Amino acid sequence: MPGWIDLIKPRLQEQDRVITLRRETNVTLEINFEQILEQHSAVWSGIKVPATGSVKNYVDTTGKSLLEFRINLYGATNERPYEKLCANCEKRVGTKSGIPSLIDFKAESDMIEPEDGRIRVTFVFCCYPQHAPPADGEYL
Amino acid sequence: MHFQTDLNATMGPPEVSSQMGHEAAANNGIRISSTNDQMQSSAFGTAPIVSIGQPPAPAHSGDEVLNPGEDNGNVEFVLHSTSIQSYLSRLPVCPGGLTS
Repeated sequence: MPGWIDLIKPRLQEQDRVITLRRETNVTLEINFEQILEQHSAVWSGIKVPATGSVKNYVDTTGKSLLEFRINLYGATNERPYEKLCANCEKRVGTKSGIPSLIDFKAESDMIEPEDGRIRVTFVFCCYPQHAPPADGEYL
Repeated sequence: MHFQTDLNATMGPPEVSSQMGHEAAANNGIRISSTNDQMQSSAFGTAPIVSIGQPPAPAHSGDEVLNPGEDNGNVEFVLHSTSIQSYLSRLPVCPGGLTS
């Protein structure tokens, strides 16, 4: 992982090079916010994550200087962004928490401020790339 | 779904490149894709940001070839300011998420 972001959960063992992620696996990243601020003499007060279904509160961020955090998933060889759940996962997730999203952030608020110079972001993948229809002609 | 965890990506302003070298196959035989990404200007929504624009290179000679239809995908972590620059990390996702 690059210096500004660490994988906190699932925990890495020393011998691990690949971590298996599943839909029910909460992934927690830690952003070294202090390092970012120092390198850019910036005054950002935190980050804003997408208000997905598991984000409990939406904060009025008017007047606040925030960095936006996004997670994008792309096809490895077809370059296409994966933006939606497959039909089966969409049905499974349901619409109780709003429009289902491919990545669901788990947060008290869509604005997360640093603690001790660091910000933790937790999310789950709600669908897998393999659920997307095959469109990778290179291997067909 | 898998994360590759030992990438050598760097952070930095737009002109800084991020080189992710060829990676050997990991434990349990899962292929880790080879990438040679280069940061380049891109667009994210309406805000100008920096992005790694290229997906991993197709399978090279000597690489384990993926199964047909198994598109591994890549994960980008993006932090961006609408005013200045972004930080970005791109992690290949390896196949196997449906094995349980």
